[in-house]
Amino acid sequence: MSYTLRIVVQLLLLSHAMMAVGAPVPPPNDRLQKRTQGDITVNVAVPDATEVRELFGADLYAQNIQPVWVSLRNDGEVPVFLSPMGIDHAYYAPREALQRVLAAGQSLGTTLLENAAIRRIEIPPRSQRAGYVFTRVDEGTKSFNVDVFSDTAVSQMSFFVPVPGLQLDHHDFDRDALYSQEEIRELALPDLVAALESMPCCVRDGEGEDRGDPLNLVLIGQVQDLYYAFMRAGWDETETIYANSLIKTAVSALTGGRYRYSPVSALYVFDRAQDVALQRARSSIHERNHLRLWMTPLQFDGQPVWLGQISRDIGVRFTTRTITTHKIDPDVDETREFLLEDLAYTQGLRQFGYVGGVGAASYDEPRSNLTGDPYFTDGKRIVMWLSGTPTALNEVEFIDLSAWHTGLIGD
Amino acid sequence: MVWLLCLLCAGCGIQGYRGTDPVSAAYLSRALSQSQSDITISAAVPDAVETEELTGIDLYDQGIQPVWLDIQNHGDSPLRVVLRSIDSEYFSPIEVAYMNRGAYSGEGYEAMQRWFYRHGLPRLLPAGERRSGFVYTRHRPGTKGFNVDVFRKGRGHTFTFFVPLPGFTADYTRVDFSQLYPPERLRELDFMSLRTVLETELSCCAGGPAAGDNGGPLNVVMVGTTLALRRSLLRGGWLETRADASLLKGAREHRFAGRSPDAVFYRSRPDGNESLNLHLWLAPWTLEGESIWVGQVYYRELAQRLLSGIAQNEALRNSEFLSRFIRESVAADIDEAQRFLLQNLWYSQSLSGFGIVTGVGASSVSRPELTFDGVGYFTNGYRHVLRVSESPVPLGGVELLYGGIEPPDEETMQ
Repeated sequence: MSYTLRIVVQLLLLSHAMMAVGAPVPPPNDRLQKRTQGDITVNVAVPDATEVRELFGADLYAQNIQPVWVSLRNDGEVPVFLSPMGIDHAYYAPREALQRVLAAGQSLGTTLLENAAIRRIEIPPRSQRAGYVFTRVDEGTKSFNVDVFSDTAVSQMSFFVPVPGLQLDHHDFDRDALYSQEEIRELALPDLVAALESMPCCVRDGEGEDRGDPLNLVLIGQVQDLYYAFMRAGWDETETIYANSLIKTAVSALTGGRYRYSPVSALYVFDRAQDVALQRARSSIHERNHLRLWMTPLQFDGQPVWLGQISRDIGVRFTTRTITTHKIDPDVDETREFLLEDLAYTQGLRQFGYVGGVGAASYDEPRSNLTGDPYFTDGKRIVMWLSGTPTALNEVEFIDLSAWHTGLIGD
Repeated sequence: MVWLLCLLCAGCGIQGYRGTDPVSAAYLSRALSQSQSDITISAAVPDAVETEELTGIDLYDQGIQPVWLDIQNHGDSPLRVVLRSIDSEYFSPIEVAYMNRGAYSGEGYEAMQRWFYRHGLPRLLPAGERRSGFVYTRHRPGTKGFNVDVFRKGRGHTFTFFVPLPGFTADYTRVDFSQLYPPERLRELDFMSLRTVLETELSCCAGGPAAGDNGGPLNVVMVGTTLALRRSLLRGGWLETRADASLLKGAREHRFAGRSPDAVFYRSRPDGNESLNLHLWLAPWTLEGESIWVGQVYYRELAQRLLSGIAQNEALRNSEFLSRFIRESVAADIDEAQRFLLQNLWYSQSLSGFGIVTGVGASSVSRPELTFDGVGYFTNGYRHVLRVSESPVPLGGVELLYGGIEPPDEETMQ
């Protein structure tokens, strides 16, 4: 801490013990979630559409605006900063929210919105700030990160707040329900490589017969680090398939509109559908990436090991079975390498390496997935160690795993 | 019957495909080349017409701009090229082919997909080898600015290219930075003396065309090498401005040290009608050998042009119309733009230091200030000092340069 800063801090400490900055903004409901890291305590709550109408007298949800209530208490002796951009990188400034509501012909007082908003990002020592950040609407579970910075340090917390609405796949992950203690195996690196290469090459259909997309990803990390990293990189959870959402997807496919939660179909590994399904939308539904993960019974350095599959959709085809299906980029290695880059650039990656296990297929003799789309690959599986704390690009390490390769290709 | 067959065929596509050999194309004569240690990268960007000649498809019309790269690895270990560093939402080669499949026959599409796949830039370069190919980026108007990050054994090198396209001249290329100040005005500062200068010497605001005009607060100060500044604005998604742009003509009426901004950047969100403007002027100071830029960042609404008459009109200036503008408009809350820029640089790994200093002077909703071009605004009166780095900085690696100012807080709202 600089000398001046220390002086300022001491002056602040003399002048007040614990103060609330600005008028206190009460939480919208009692669905509060709380996290504490060191001197920082964060509480959040998300009002549903009805509660928002009661609070602000206008239908913000209809304008794609979802207020998130955040309260931050700083018990430390240095100032900290709360970044709305961490909660949603395309958050609305209070007046941007206001203009959207007014443009839709609704009336809304500026002062009401601004007084409720978090309008300052700094939270002085021994003080508390509470208010709303205006984000884009997430239906179902509202999942977001709260980043709190201080001088050369950051606290990061992920929240999953259920909001009445659509049902999404996220649930608090319970490893004990999947595997018994005896099934869980902690492995050293050489054994881990061998175990990963003997895992199934590909996803299966519900009957466990036909092989589909290659399982070309391995992630190592706690479930909360996994969600933090993917949310930071702009991934959303997906919706479970119900008739209602299928219609929305079909409309979205026809109009090219952006529906963030179009569902994914279930694929099977270890005789069960994916444990986690995520997607990263781009400018239209024709361009999005899908990712499915299954937790394995393996563990490395105490961290769970996940097996997964990723595909880049490059178009939508209509089918009789699920109404629509995605045409995937046959160059699945390109999609895999993009994920590596995406996680590294959003600071979620610590180290990475490659193992075999998928089996190679060439451009001229491709294999095909369950919906008949061809793909080609070098047959490698990327192994990515997730980082619990943000890691700069040039600190990401490549680990050469080739000494332990077994040459096995999974079934 | 013949008509019916014609109608049916219009939907199925009967063309063959013939892509051109990219190595013989004319735009390569404009390629720029850079070297770092044992890596050499050349970059060239075909314009809309050249792209159509090359691929047979009007990709610019679809918002896609190919970037051609040629990379030589003179080292003794493999090199990895990070395509995402060039554009975080690039299109994959086969994706571009598939998007354009409609016009071609089955065989034609096969040939097209193979052409795009074969001419895509590979990510891995073995030791001592050379590779070239295209990356399909999102089209942005103006000079094509992009980074190319390459890694070897965990060590990164960042190359930054600004490839001029025919017909576009960026505003700052017309400024002769060496002639802006006489040598006796130049001063080397440290962080403490910079703070003093910003809080006591630097005027609160930019000027305008006439003496005494208020051109709006100078609410940001950027510290960094020219390369760091250009890289960080690139990473943050800011666009540069044509020297002759009519769209931002108003921006050039803002003055500091008697001149228009040396550079104007802007950034807009896809789902809104506001745009953020950033005006930068090189200051006559340096800090640890790095340049210092004074600037202003604010929202510009598309309706704002209507307001430019207000400042000159005494009756309108005190009207209910103006007070409503200040109560409701996005642009009036000028500190929001300042907060956006801070977070934007922070999350794009460009910010290495940040500080809050005074020097602008507070104004409030009930006692707003008004610029010569009709923007009423209120502010808590602070300047942000933003130090930008050439190399990436993790989220937790940002140094607090000056802080702990107890803000007047929500009173500006009253």
